[in-house]
Amino acid sequence: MSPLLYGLIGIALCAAAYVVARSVSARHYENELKKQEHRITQLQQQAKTLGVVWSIEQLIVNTLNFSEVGEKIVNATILELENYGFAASYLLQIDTTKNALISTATAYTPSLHNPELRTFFAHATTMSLSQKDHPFITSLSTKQMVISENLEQLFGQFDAATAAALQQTGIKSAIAFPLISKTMPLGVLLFLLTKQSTEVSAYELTMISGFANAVAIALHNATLYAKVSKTTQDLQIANEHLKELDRLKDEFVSLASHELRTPMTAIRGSLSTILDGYAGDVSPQTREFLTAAYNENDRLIRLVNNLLNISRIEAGRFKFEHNVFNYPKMMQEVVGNLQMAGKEKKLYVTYTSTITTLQLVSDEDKIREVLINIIGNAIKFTHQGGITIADRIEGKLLYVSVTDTGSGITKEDQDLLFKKFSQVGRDTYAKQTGGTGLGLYISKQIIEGLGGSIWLESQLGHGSTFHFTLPITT
Amino acid sequence: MAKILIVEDDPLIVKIYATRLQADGFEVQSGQDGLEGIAKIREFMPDVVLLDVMMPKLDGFGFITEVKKDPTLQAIPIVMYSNIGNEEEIQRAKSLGVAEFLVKANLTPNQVIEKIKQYLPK
Repeated sequence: MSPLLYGLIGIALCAAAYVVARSVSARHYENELKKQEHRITQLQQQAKTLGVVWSIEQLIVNTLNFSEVGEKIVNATILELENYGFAASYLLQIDTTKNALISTATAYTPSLHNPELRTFFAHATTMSLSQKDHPFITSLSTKQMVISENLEQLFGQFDAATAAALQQTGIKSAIAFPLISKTMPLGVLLFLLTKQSTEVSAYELTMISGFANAVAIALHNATLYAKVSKTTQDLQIANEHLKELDRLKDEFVSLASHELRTPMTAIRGSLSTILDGYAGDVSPQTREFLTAAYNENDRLIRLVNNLLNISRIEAGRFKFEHNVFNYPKMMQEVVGNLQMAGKEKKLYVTYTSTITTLQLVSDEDKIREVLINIIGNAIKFTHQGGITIADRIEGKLLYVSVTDTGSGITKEDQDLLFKKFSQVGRDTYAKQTGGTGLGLYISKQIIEGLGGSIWLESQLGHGSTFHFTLPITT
Repeated sequence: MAKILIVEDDPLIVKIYATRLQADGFEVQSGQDGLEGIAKIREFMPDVVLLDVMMPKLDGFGFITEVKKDPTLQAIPIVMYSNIGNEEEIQRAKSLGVAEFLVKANLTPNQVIEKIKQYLPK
């Protein structure tokens, strides 16, 4: 053989090898390409799964009201899975009060158009929790999903019409995914499929699993939210109710005090007109009884005034009315009136003052109330001796003191004295003396409101002295 | 003799004040509601008016409003007294120009009369 021939064979072999090699490598590349494409599809699917699950989570995060979120979830899941043969999606929730699994939200594809079939599934997806052998209920404790073609086992016996309708829609299997938050079973996410259970891909299961987790969280949040909003609502209702009661109480106190004060002031006017001698002579015995009646009536007036004051303080409507008034004259009047009450108990009530002229700019009516309360209390709690009222001016302050020869007050009780409804020795002593325990609380509100201060000096067994100051503004 | 008009719907209260004021030497007339009060104030031309708040037909505030419109009456001092005496009443009475606003429950009739006397010509 000539070298030329070898050369030619060589070239031919090379060419053949080249052709073979080329075709082999082309097939190889083609395979690789397909693999890559498959991976891309897989990745795209995973991305899509994540995207869908994420969008559902967003839905859940942004909507706290679960009745709304339930609908949105079943709609979103069926929209995503429609192309994979998922015909319907049901959200079944555990209702502990009814001890049942109840269908709360549903979404269908147009393939499940038959309304009777829809009604059938609506009924078939609600069941008592005591049906322990039902696959849905079992899945709640096993935490395993149910995927089955035995639809009668899941939904009960089909009658001929239902079976025919089912045949028409092509529903072949069902998947039930238990919804569990932490360890608490909350419900079931159920799908009806138009394909065999073996045709369900891993991708689809991943997707359902993602949905189920998100829904479980949503359900759990919704339960918490429902509790919170129920509590909030209850509180709001209670608050409104209290406000209304408060308003009614104010209205009642105002009305009642007017209705009570009208006859009481008429009684006082009548009695004082007799006692002051405008209606003829009064025998000493008549005077004694009329004086008692007058004093008791005055006590009632004080009580009603105090209740009215309390109601105004609580409603934030306790206001001061400043005017110019003659202080010594006011003191004489107040003490003069209370001397009658003292006389009845055979107590002296004396007021000695060096202040002959003082025009005060303050709330005269309220200062009267304070004096009546403090001196009235002193008379009430003193059984022997009497009450001494004194005053003095020091710089820009007026000092008033009321000293009694009563039983005195312990240090602990002194702290309680200016609090609302507090009365020292309430159980025994107060019962004999009566009263509401409002007087000193109101007096403190008044004196402090007028820019002064009020305090007490006392020793058990040695009487008490109440002091108050008022700023002198002229 | 100083003249005092009492405008008050409670006849007992009228009697109490009338008895006392007459005994003290004053001439007293009364009206049992705001409308009657208006008629009486024109005819009687008192030196001072003692006026209740809650009355039928025309209440105390209505009475003052009418009186303050009349140049021949608007200078007559009005002492208003009430059994309610809340913030709204006091403010309203003051804005209408009463000489004095008294809460019945805080004062004895003597004290009310003392207040009235302050507005009488000396």
